[in-house]
Amino acid sequence: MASDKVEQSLKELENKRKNGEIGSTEFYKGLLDILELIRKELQAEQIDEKLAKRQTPLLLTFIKNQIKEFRNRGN
Amino acid sequence: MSILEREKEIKEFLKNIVKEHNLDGILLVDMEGLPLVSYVDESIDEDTVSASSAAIISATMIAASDTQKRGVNEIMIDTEDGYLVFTPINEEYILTVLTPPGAKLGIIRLITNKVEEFIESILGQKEGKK
Repeated sequence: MASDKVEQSLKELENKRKNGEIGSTEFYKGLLDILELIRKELQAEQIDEKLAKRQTPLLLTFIKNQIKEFRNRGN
Repeated sequence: MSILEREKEIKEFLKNIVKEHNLDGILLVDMEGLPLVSYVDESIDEDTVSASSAAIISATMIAASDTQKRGVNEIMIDTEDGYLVFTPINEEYILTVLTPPGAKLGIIRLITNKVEEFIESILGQKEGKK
């Protein structure tokens, strides 16, 4: 199940960060890997309009901030 | 749709309120974070503020739901440079009011109510036409 798979990946990553095995950047990149896992699962699902509407702003804010950050780094 | 049909009129209304009360700006945003109508200071990036307004509302709704609280009426962020007040309207739109330091919260609430009534009257007119 996707929920188990994503939860397990997240728990492992969170534990590594809590134990100090990885730094903030690695934790961040690990979260992006989990997002990729979620993206694949969501593409295969029929997503409810209401749910999509609720979650869109979080993604939009993340993406718009990334554009700004890329630009600030000259990328 | 009806909001965009009346964009000029709403923008004029927001502009008058911003100028009258010396605010930093007012934005009307949809629940997905897209800007609809706004009147803000030039230094403010309307696009990113719109997206973050909806994200704040969305995250707050999730937190409220997780703690068995129903409905979100208002979110107020108090910063050193003024307030950010987010108010959901009709579960479809978000009104974001940006104030300079020293603004009075009571006045901000009156402004929010006034804009909310204006927007609802426009939406009501549209429904009446159907």
